[in-house]
Amino acid sequence: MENIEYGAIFLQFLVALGFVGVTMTLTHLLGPKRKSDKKLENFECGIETTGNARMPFSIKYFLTAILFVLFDVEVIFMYPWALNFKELGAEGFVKMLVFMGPLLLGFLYIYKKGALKWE
Amino acid sequence: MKALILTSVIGIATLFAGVFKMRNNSVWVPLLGLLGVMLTIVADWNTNISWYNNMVRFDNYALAFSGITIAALIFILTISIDHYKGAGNSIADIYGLMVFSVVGAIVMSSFSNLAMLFIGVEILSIPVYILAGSNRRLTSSNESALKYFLMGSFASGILLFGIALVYGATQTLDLDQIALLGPTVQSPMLTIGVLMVLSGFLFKIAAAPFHFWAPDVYEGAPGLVTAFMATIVKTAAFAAFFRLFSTAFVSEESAWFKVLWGITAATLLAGNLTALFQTKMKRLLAYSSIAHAGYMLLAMLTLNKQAGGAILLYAASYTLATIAVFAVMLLVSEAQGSDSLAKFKGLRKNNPFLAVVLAIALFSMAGIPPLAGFFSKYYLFAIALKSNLFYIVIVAIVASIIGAWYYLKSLSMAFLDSDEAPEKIEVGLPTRIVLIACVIGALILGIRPDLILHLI
Amino acid sequence: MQELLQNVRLVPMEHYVWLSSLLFCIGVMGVLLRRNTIVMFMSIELMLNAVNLLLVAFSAYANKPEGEVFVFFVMVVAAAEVAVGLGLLVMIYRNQNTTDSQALQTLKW
Repeated sequence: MENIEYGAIFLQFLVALGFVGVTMTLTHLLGPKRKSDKKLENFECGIETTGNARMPFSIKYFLTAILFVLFDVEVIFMYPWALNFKELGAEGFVKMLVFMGPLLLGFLYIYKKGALKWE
Repeated sequence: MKALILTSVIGIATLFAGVFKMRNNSVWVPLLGLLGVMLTIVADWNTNISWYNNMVRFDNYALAFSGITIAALIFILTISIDHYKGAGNSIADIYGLMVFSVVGAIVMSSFSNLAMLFIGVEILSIPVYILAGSNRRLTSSNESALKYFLMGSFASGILLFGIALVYGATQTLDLDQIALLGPTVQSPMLTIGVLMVLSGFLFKIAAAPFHFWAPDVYEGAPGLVTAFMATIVKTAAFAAFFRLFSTAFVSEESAWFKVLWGITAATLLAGNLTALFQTKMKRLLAYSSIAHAGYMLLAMLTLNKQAGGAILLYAASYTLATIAVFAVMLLVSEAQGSDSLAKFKGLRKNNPFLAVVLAIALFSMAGIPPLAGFFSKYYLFAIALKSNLFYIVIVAIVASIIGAWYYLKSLSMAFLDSDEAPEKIEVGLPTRIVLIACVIGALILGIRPDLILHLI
Repeated sequence: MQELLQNVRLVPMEHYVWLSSLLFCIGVMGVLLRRNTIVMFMSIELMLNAVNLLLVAFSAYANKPEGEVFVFFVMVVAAAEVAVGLGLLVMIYRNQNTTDSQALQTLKW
């Protein structure tokens, strides 16, 4: 039995790796290639790049990302509830509403604080 | 349970009070709300109900420790009316975080399941990480927040691993069942788990080999937050520590007793000896809080149910004295621009009221007879002697003599004359009320310690 | 579900304990030895996740759901810690332009 299960996981790996490999080679082969120094430079009036492009990051994105993580992780508590939705019935539903209520208040709070303002 | 739910609601309400521009009045939301919570605690007294499949149990122990933390928060909020005068918009967020942190403290004093313990520790700690860094532009505040965060989450990681091992050995997270199953389990996982939980707690309360983060964090954090950490965080950690080790882990006593004995002695000596050489008030109070943790650890060693009352009395008297000293220190350092001990010179002439309050608070901390500090120490030592802990009591007495030395040394500064004409220190009405309340509290607990001692 | 639990039990419990202890120790060493605070921070997350693995294994062996439910709470707490920790790091990076832990040594006795 276990061999079959591991086989499926192995197959999944192969498919995932294969998909990545195939798409990468395909785009490489199909895309037009014109390489020259001029092409890699900034266009006309751009400033010469200095430093490492990976260092700076926008605080704006950071805040959104963090808020996403916070609200995203709460979904975890919905999985067990969803699996036992019928057994838990109306009581479970009410309890879930009690859980979601403060979460919505939190959302209202960050909205009012202007954390979601994009410029 | 009412206290827990009501406090959470107050926390949310406080945040929204800030959002809806109540700016200078936002402090009244948590202040009045918490007074209401105190009423529910009085109403729930002697009920002893367990909730949600025994996840939390609100017995008198839980209610008493919740009461102390909430009272401490009420005092701190009252001081903050003066202290944060003219602060920006985010002041309501600071109040909100403090209230949320106290929610964690309530959970930590009422848990009866290891899962709730972990959640309580985290609810208590995470807001305090932010509070420590709430002075955003100050490098020392940043550093304090980062150190506290790294050490705190490291400690909760260790605590959590210990909880997992205990769960693996006993197959339950419920305290009562662990207490039942503990003696039958032979697995070394239980012993290792208990020791890891122990070291997680020792990190949190800053006991001796794990105390190096505490002075830095206390010094860097804003003054009121330091007062919060020294009183509420410490009280809650001890409430949880004693609740856990006097019930669930008693059967594993052979594993942790000797370790804790050594750590108690080390904490008492390290805290008091290092405090001798401090020149800044905040750092001195940090080391003094380490030393006081040592005295409370002494009660843990007795394995005695009565020790709960002694810890409660100690926590109450320590909280009263600490808040008073911090309030005076905030006023002095605000007027003089620094919290170094030399700046306390001339306080007697400048503001006799503050000098007297400082004297009473420091006397109480040092353990001078008619005050609460003396009797709380006395009961701790008496219980320890009853349990035949002779040698550690000698260490504790030596430590408290050293302690008296540096408390009196820093107090003598206040009664010396200053060379320069100091700036006049004004005491606002809210702070004055808190200071008087602390002094009266220290006197009452000194005269009638049985009021608190036999509560639980 | 039951089948899944059986598959978890195919591996002896000691192996789970060893694996998660090892992961936990890697996390501890990371916190103690690394200088970059972001790496230290990631090591703490590794510690928490090692515990999660352990809890799930114990839960499967005991055939009780408590451990698994506890893992949910640990994950949520870890996410809250990530949010706070990264917030602190960004604040420090703005002020100091570095996240090296050695740069933060102004508080000393």
